[in-house]
Amino acid sequence: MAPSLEAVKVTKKFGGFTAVSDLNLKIQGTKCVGFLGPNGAGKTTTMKMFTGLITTTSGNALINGVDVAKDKKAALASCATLIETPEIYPALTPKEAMTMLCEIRGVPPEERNKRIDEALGKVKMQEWEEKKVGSFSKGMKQRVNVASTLLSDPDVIILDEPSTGLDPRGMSEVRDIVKSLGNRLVFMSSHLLAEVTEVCQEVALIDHGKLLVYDTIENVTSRFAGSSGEVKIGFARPLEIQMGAVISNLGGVTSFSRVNDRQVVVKFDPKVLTQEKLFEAIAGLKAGAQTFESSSGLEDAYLSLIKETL
Amino acid sequence: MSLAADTYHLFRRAIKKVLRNPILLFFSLLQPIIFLVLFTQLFSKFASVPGLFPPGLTYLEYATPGILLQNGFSSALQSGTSMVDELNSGMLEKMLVTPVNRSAILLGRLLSDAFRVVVQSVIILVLAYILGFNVAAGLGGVVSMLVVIAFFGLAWSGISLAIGLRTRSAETVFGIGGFLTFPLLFMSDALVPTSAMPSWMASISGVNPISFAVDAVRSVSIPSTALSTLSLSLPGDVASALGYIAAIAIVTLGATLYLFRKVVS
Repeated sequence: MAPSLEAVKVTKKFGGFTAVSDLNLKIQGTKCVGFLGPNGAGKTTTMKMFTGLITTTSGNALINGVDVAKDKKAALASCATLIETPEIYPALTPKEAMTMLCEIRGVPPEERNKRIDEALGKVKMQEWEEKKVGSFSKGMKQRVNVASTLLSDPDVIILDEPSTGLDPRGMSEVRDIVKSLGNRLVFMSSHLLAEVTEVCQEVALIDHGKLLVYDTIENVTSRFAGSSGEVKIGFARPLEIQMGAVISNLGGVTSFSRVNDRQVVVKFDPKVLTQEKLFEAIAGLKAGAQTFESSSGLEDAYLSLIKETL
Repeated sequence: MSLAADTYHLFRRAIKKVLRNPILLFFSLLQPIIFLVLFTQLFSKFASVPGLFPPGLTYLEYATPGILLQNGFSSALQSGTSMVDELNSGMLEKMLVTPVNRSAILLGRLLSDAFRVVVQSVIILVLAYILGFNVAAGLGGVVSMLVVIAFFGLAWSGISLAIGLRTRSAETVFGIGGFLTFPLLFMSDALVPTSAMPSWMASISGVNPISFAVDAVRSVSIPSTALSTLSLSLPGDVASALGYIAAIAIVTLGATLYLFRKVVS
């Protein structure tokens, strides 16, 4: 059976405040789904309801078809969760901390060492397994935390902002690990749209406790990102006027503006001019083009959807 | 996984955490030694005050049960700080998203606290024995003493855990713990007989749970001849003490359970 996460008419109220309202979401299959929304949108509340950390006010949260409220133990048996960056006892080694989790998760004793080695290998922390966690960087701790989620060989992995607080290298490491999880349903909340674009195939967007959209990134981008592309290009040398004219006269370019003598912003119609062709044309100018910052389609879609609900 | 198995794993985890922290371990073991040496030296002259103690009873014999309970009381009141740490660092959530039995999280913590108190108590008893203390009721008496002390520690851990769960602040746990420790200790007959106290203080000592538990421990440690002439303010037997402590435990652990459920649901 394909792994699944399902929210059926889920509502969560904290006193008079409705954090999540009548949420219906069904995710099925082995894939990575980004869970997006502004602060306070209801992402963490939803994830906590899926993991049984908080109860729903009404409705049902199901993991692999098992209602978390009715049989938490069975529902969580096939699901691993990482909420932000939890601490690990600094005096323990990753192996000791993970052995304890194996015990709690009921991993047979004869399999524990193998699973720990495999999980630590996956996050490239094997050589640190006997070192005390207290000396680890935040990124290393998070790698151990991610490895811990793999111990029970779960079908479903819920990650709540796994890159929060990490430096760029740590973020990149976590992204690589998430990408390598494979054959699982990964449900990951994040504020980093570039990260979601790189790692996930689908996105669910929530705001004010309501689900705005759940679809593939391509579909969300094409439906909500608008019709124009935009790229900021940086040059090593001042861009000559005639070279600027070459770019502005390219078919499909709808707008060309200079930020300064070494930076320009080009807007274009992606239906006429693809980003790839634009880059080829600019590289052909031999003008020392150095940097290309393109606006993310997902970011545009996100802003467009969130703006609509303001 | 059963409740017992989950509790055992979490108990081991909590003990390992202490064992792997040499500074905490050192001071946890040193604390009871300091208490014993400090108090028995500081108040040793009490034994020579005429009429205060039965003839032949040393202050060490009188005070050791009090120091055992005082140590258990102080250690138990630190329990909430560990819970605050687990709450604020995300470690508790990490446990809660596993299929672990929720009750085992609390039980494992409480049992590890009780175990720590028992280990400290054994250290005090060994040192006291070296200094001349004997348990009149023998090995059975030692076991009874440890049961009362562990049970007492569990009941008082409940207060600390409840404060920790309610406030999520280690400073508040320490502050309230410190505020409770000294008035309760000095308004009990743990270190000074009630006959040496002002009447109002003796009255409070008569209902003080520390007095009750200390007198139960004395009932097995002090020879019955001396015990009969020592004015204990309460019935002072192990069974009554366990009943009294159980009543306290129902309130403190009930509050802890209620607050813990609020935190995890």
